[in-house]
Amino acid sequence: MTTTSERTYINALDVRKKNIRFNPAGLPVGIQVFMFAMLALILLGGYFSGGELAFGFLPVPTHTLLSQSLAIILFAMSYNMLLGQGGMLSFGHAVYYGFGGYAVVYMAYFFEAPFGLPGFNMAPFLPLFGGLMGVILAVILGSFSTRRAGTVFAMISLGLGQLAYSAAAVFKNSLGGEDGKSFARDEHPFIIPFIGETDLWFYKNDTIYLIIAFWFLIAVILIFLFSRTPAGRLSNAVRDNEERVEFIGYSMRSVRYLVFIGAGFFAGVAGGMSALAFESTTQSDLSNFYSGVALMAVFVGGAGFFIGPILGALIYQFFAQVLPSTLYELYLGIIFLVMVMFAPQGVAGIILMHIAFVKRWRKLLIPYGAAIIATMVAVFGLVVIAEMMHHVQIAGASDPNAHPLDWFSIDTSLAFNWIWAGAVMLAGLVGLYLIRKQVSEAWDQARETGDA
Amino acid sequence: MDWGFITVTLLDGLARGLYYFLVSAGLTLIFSMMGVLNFAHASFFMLGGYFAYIIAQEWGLTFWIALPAVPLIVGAIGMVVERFGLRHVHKFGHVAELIFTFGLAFLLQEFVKLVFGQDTKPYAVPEVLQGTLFTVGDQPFGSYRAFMILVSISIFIGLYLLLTRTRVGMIIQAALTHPNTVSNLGHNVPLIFMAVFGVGTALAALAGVIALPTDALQPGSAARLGPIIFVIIVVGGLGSLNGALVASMIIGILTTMFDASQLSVFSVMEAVANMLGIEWSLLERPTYELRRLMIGDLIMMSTKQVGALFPYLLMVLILIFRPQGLLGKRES
Repeated sequence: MTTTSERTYINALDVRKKNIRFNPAGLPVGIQVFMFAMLALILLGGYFSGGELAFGFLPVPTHTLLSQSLAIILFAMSYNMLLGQGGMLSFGHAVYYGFGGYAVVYMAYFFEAPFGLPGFNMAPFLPLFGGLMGVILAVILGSFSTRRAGTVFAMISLGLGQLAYSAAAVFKNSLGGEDGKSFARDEHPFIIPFIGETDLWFYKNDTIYLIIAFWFLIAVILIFLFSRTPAGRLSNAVRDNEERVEFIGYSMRSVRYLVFIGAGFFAGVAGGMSALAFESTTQSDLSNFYSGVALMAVFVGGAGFFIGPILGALIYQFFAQVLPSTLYELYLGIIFLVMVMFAPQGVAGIILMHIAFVKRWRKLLIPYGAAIIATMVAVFGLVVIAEMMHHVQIAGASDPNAHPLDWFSIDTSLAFNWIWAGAVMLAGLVGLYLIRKQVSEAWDQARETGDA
Repeated sequence: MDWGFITVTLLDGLARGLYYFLVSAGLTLIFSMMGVLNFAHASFFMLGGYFAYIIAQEWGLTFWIALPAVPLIVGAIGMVVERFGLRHVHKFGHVAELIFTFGLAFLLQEFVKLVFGQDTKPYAVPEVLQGTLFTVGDQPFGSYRAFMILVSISIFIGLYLLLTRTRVGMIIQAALTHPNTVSNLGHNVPLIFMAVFGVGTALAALAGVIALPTDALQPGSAARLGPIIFVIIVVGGLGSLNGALVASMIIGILTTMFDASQLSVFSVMEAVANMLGIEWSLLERPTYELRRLMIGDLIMMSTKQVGALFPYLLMVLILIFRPQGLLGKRES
């Protein structure tokens, strides 16, 4: 069975050329079900993380951080539906995320006292209203923006994103300006119909995490199933060759429109999750920067791969939340640009490329090891220089000691420190440049012996 | 009507529209030649401003040295980007090129933040040009605006003559439409692409040098201008230089006019009430309640705020009613 669903628009040709046969779509149904069951278990496990130290030293994420991460992962997955599956490069996907959040805030008010149903709490269903808002917006905006893909679609999405962002600043009463809109989660327990009250209270973050994890799981399964439907396959066909799709009698525009609406729905759900977790939505949730986060997460993780946006969003969260540096955007930007230039298949693509040849790891060990060491040397030099520059910018002459990533202290007033850091970075880059041939040769060799 | 106010606002709008065109002309040139929409184009605009700030303010050399030097520097940077970045990504297709320039724009913004910090740099108009050139009625027209108009127009005349009257211009024009034929005739097309990319970024940088003193020089400058430039490109018709000119003028002049006035439905209501001789304090209470409602946003929305939304609304309308843009020839 040959399928194209796991190939990105960019590496489609590349993968075919290199004859990669790894194909998760072809995994037996039992294994697929098992994988989602594992995902459910992992999500459930998140409920028991309390934000304290595990074994006395390992930091455990808080429920709010977990909820936020799930929202970002889902946002990236919805973006992957657009870019990876449908081949639409959007610079304004945060519109659906942000307005999904606004919808949830408004519905939270709506279901307050006068509208609340007796004996029933609507809070668990709030993210769905975010999705509804996403669908409504996607139906309206997609009607004229999905006419064309590629550059024009990208420009339109950028303009629409900027329009929504500027509008949020102007509509101060309805959208709250820069501060956005906020609400308070009420002090009700979760009520199961016919059974009664439970001990899950809505003001608690762990209850909210459970709700978010539940909808996240459903959404992930739906996105997976969508990619297996004929419509999902058709969207891949539109991405790869829209003319042929027209020739065999399908309308590329309606396929794109459909995918666009689906992506809008899941982005709205993700925004709703985030609004539920933080009890607010702000203007920055609508910003082009946030759309860029989705693009970077999907691209770094691997556009078109099911697992790609998950990996990418986790990488983003690691940089944004775990790394003790305010320069994480700079580092992410560098990683992104390097990936665009040299590894457009993303992390997931690199992993899948190598899985088929994992048995021949001996051939790859030395060149890959050398490349990794050289990269680490270059990154170390770069980080030290960037943190020193940042420190000079922030502190000036008052405190010459910079602390790159909290590892150690370094005196920025000594020229010697700048020179060695620059030399280290340069040495790493030169090393990478020198061994680039050996690495690609080793990879070719490992692959060829595999095909024979 | 205050004719002085209208004339000066129109002239200010002309200055703004021309510098929009300086940026969008380079972008259109690059787009029609390589099919690449350079997302980082506004970042080169911002880089132009920062280089001019370094040369004119930090090194103490004058604005007059920065004016010719900065476009050369940034144009060289642009050529390096084309040679070692864009050309490398070219084989992955146009979408990959667009993603590359997006990453570049992101990185340049972060880099500028790293080197210069978040705050606005005091990059001011040179003293010679700080005064008023003339007044219409009681409205002053700054000599710097006149200088901006002068520089932009002379650049365009020079560019026009270069493209239509010289041999190099002929080759560039031919390479725009028939790159393969030009290549077969023995011209180095990749070199032409690189040069055009350099000229485009140099134009953006020049716009940055002359426009950023009237605006704020900060890492967000690129993100503020970028979407407007793309709107101009789409509204004018992708790849159409004349369309870019028309759209630049429309957006430049109209946003300036919106910015200059502070009308809103509410202020009109107030004026009408005054005209009819109704005591405003009687209406204060009910309108206060009205203003707090969601619809109050629309009532209180001033023309200045509409000006912030206007370019994007115009783009949406154009896309619905004339998808090929004002002067674009075909859809796609």
